[in-house]
Amino acid sequence: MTHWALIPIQSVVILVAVLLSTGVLLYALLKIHSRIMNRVGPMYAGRFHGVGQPIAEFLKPIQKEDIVPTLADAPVFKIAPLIALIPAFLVFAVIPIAPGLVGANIDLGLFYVLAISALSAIAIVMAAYASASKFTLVGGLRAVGQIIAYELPIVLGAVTIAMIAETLSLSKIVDAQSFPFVVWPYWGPHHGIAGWIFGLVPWGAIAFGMFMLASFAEVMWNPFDMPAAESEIITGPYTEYSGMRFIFFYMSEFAHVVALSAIASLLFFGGWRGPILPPVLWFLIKVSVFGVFFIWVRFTMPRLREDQLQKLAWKLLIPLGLLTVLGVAITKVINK
Amino acid sequence: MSDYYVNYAAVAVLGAVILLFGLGTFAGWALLRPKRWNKEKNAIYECGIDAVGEQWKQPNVRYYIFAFLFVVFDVEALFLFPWAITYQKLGVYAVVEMVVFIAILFFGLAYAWGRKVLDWA
Repeated sequence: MTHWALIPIQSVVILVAVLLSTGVLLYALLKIHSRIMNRVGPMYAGRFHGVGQPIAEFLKPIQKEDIVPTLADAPVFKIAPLIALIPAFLVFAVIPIAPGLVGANIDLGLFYVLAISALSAIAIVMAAYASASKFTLVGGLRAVGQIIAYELPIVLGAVTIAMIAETLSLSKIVDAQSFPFVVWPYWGPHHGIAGWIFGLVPWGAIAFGMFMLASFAEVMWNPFDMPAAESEIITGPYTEYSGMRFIFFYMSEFAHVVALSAIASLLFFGGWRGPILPPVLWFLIKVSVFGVFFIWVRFTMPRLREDQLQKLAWKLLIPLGLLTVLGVAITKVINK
Repeated sequence: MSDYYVNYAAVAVLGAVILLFGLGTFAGWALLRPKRWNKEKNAIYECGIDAVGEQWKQPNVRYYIFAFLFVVFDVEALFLFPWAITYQKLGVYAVVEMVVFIAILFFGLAYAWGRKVLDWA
């Protein structure tokens, strides 16, 4: 709980932390990408192994011209990057990094995270439509089709965890997890054959699989990067953008990856819980592992086709998600 | 002020700080950047040639049915959240009710699947 007078300072701290984390993710992305492609990556900026590269990536476009296409819908075109940036950063208000160490400890934490991060779709539609370009229009349609299809597996995976933990507060979800975390929802005595059958299904693990797959699609990274497939539609919805507006879209995308890594480790891997090391360090380790996993998958997977990714969402993940929700409900009621 | 309001105020203040950061960056950018208007440069990108035809074309939205399905399932998800954290206190009745609710949606999805609207049109 923060004193109200400290809120502005706390907000600035959160903003700086988010900017730092996106910079670290960018550096990790450049270096791991290079390693996967068997080259060294940035080596000069910041003297030591190119650690200054994220700052250079920010300072270069700030000197670039602001190009607004003549035919574009200028006000919407100009405001879209801000609409992308604000929700992507605002998610971090409710993410706890240690017991009691959280910007806003609201009881609806999980619901808030899902609701706020869903707003990014609106910014992409604004950018795509206001640019008045064919590439952006195609990219925007693909992006929206993908985001709405994979919103549901994320929500169903999150509801599964909320049912197991019986709360929507992110801190309380972490508190509800003991060692095997939430892979199996029920560890008490099982009642009858049905109790055993339902109790042995790893509902939490299924929810985790759905959540991770859908996360890749939500941030539009490989194997789900059809909306910004550079070999066919340049950079999709961002084709017409330049300078800081372009960078804002990228910052929001990176912040989204960090947020999803943090949420995955909070929901499924016990957040800050762990032996010996202090809680904050455990949380950072878990988030980093997820971040590296995102980058690893991004640079080693081929791209899915548009109809394949829609099929994956609607014919596999959503029915599976509904069954998981029912499965957890039945497991917990039978074994009560 | 109670904790409840302080927490939501923290969210609002963070939103304002992010907005200030964004506007401040734009202001700094406006001071640093060059400004040279050019007809060719400010045209829509279309592989280097002049853009052909209208820019806001009518696209073939093959997945508009998915948008309808999405609204249905997203509203369902909205009902799932309050149910998910209280169903154990409400007893078997609440679970049976949610089974019926999800079954109806499931048959809706199965019907859409059978009508082949989930395939590339």
